[in-house]
Amino acid sequence: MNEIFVCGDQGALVGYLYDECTPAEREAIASHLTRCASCADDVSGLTSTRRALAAWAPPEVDLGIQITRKADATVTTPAGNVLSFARPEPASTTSWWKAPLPAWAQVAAAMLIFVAGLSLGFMRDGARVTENRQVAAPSTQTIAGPSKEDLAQLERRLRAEMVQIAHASAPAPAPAPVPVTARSIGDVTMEQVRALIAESERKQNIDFTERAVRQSAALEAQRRADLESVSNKIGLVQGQAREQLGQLQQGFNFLATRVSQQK
Amino acid sequence: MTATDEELVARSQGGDLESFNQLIVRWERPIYALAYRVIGREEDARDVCQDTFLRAYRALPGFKGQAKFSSWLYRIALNLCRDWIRRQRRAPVSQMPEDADAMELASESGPAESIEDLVARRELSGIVEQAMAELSEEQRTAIILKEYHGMTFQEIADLQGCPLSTVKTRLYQGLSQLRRHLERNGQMVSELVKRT
Repeated sequence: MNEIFVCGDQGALVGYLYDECTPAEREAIASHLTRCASCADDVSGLTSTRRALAAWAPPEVDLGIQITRKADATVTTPAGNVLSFARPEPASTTSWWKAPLPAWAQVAAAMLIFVAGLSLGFMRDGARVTENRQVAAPSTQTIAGPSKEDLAQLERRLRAEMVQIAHASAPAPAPAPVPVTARSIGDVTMEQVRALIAESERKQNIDFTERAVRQSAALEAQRRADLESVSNKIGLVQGQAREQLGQLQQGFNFLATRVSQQK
Repeated sequence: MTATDEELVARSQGGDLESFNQLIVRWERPIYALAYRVIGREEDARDVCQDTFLRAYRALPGFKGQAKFSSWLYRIALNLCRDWIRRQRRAPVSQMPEDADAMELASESGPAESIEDLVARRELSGIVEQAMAELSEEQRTAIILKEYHGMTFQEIADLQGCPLSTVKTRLYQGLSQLRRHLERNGQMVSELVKRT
């Protein structure tokens, strides 16, 4: 490095200030400072500035950062801040359960649900059949579970019912008449339902009317009370006004008397 | 015996999380101080500090040790600070210390420092912080790295990605600007400096 210091060389002065220069350069600058007031003032001022800088301290904070490994790596602080990050995922960032299903999967799911529903329906029917059978032939024994005989009977019964269903669904030469009993039961049920709805409507109407009457009565009572209150207040105000008027009249009379006396 | 940074880094790269946590304990304060002085906001500095270690942990397998671990951390932190400043698109806003609470100050002051001295130091700290906020980002960073982190001109040049002469110029001009700012507060600063 060039050992000859040129007056005003900022880089060299900074090197001198931070003592990051060669001894020869340092000596040359020190010698120059004794002769050059401007450079000496510069170095002196910057040294003072550096002293002032030492006072600047960041606030004391409890950082306590720590990396912990659970499922993923996380950075935690005592203040409760938790920065979690997953290790770099290869491709997908969306969870599998959040991703939309492909069409074929949706169709498969729908079919599965349909079949499950169908199976449940069959199971209920079977339960009803068993229940009917138990009602028809009550047993004194407690049923712990289906025996082999029960299962065999159930199988026979199911087979018989399947045969009946097959016969019923076979094409018939003439349309089968709708069972009269079914129609009549449906009609009776509908009539009952209609009656229930009519009864409910009637009760609701009565209830509504009663409420309306009660509300109306309450409103009327409130209105009367308000009118009475207003009337009382008006009366009070009128009384006060009369009283003040009387006082004014008295004052006026008094003044008139005094004036006439002075005349 | 205390392990060196290099040893801790090697162990961390081998999967020893505890070693990395030791590195954090060792470097969290300087990194936080750097971030705070560069961006001037306590909460954001804390975030930058956390993010620095997160990124370092992620990038640890790729750290080959060409530079010192601390320099590598400083680089990450400075990049994050720069990103923060760009996001904010404004000069750093200093959090000026609020009126000093006597009890708080009393608890802060050490046995050798009176409360009056501590108040003076805090006032001066506020003035310096304000003056630093007026510098350009490059000048401020250069001064911070030199004054508070004791880096050499060459290390600062490496971190800032600029020639050594530029670092010296930034330091000189930044310090001169600070000097002018502090001289505007004249008497008060000189009194405070004497006290501190």
